[in-house]
Amino acid sequence: MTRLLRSTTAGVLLVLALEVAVFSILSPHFLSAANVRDTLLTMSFIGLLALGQSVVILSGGIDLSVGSLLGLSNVVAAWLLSPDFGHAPWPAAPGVAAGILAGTAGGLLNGLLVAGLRIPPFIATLGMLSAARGVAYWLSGGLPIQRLAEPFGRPDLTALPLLPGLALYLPTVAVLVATLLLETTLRRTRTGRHLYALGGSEAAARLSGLPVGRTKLLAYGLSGLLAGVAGTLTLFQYGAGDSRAGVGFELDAVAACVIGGVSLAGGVGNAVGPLVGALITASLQSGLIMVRVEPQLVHIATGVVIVAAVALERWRRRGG
Amino acid sequence: MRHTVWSFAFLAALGVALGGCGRAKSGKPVFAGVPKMLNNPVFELAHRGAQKAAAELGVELLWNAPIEGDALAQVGIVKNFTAQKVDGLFLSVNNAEMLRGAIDDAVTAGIPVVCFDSDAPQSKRLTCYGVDDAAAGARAAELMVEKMGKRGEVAVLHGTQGAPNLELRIRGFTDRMRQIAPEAIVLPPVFCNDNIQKAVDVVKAQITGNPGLTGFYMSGGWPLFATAPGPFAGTAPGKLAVVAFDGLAEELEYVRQGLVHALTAQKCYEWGYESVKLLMEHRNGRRDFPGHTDSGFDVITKENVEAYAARTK
Repeated sequence: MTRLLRSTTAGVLLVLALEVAVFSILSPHFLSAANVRDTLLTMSFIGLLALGQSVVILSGGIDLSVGSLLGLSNVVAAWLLSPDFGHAPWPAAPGVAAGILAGTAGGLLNGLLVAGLRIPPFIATLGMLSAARGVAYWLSGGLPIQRLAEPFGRPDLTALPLLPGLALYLPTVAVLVATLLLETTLRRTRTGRHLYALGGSEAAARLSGLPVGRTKLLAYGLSGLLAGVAGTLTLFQYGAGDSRAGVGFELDAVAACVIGGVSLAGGVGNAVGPLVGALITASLQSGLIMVRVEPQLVHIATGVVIVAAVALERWRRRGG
Repeated sequence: MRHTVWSFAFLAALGVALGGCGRAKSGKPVFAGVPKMLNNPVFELAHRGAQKAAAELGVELLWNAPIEGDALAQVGIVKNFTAQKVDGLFLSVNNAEMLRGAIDDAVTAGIPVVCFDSDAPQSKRLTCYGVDDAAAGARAAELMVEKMGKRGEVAVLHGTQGAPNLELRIRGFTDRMRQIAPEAIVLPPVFCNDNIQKAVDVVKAQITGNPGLTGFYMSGGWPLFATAPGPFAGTAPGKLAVVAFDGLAEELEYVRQGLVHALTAQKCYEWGYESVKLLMEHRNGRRDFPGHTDSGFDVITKENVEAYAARTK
């Protein structure tokens, strides 16, 4: 814990704390239970993608397909669960499992292309970005998939009461659990050390006899798995398949990682940082709407804060 | 220590800047509009309509949306306005089912909601003001046959896969073509990703690549937002029967020059204007709202283009 606080994460936590302080002074609604719950929910989907993205970036790669894999898993699960496609609707558990499997399969295919065929990660995952989205459009016919049975679309059924008046939605619980598991894996297991070593220097990792191919496959597979989880969680939350779900989220996920101190060069970062990074952008967007900034300025301000947060952090690490 | 002081200074400056952006409370009712996206000029027309109604009725208007059509981001914005306890919400939904919960939460919190353009019919919204997309597509097919005849080859321009209103327009168009001109060939749609430059390029490519082309149906106005003759440079006016959607000022020039036979224009300005009026009527005690308030659509041809331009100026 002490090590964590001394790390890059301390800097982003400070930025988050100050951001919350500023917006709670400017808007009486910013810290209301409903807005806290909803901002955490907005953060959750990007957060899940950012966790997977951080593993891939740590290993020295990049995954541009996470938004499309979210959309693919969302549509695959919705297609199976819906009564509108000429087959009996699947029960909830296998339908959700199939959706998560679709995301994982896409991630593993990325891993095979990168590790097996030595295709640069940018190109392999760019191809998957297009192909996975294409499958989602094709399966859904471009229209929303509706009429899913409960518990889909009933977030109240799966919410976790935290305090009186404040319940956390399932995606928020999922991203918190995933962060804990991933942080532990990165810190405490051999696989975690392999990921850092691979991202630090692939050549050195190979010379040391580390399982480079297997580690890359695991990184991309995990990224696909988390995108699959995010895609199916949108069904629990909103009750409909959407072939456009997750469009552009890959860049939000990269932004969350970078704000959270994950080095795009690989080998540096942790799991908590990207989560806080996702929370910084979600809070910023929520806060700016609350203080009634023009919508175009919200996006400009988000861009400025991404760059400023990273610049501030680099400057901090150099000792101010 | 120095870095911490500077971090505080940076965020304090941000706070001061944002404090300047926040508007003083006016005491007027606050209505918030959430279109599907910001990067489509039809919603800017709706915004202008809403501003006009807000000025007439003494309403403070808020306006926010995702830049691109993104249901998850739109849910976040609706929830944000609900947390702010605005006095009314009007929105065009990216995905009816995904927005239903956010709409119902707003209504439960005492905020009346009106849909415009794109409806969430299963939600607790008061009503939806908008066009029947399939009917507009079917009417476009009739206008196409009127100009082209019952035989020929028709290309179709699509915006983005997954946009339900465009899918419905194209389905309405192709279904009606099958009924009234079964011998005509309707080509599979080509996509422009709602991008003006790309739309000009794909339309040009379709015209060049299909010398036998006799008609073009555009489910949105994208290529016609470029200065005329845009994608039809080198194409003689009247050679191709073109029917397109919407009636923005840039598109009207194509009708004047005879490059476009007809436009089916939805009432974008009224989306905003009527929505604010409906919310105000609710505030003043009206409760008998029909489920759907049909806006109808205008058909613009060379004969009535000037009258239409004067009316929507």
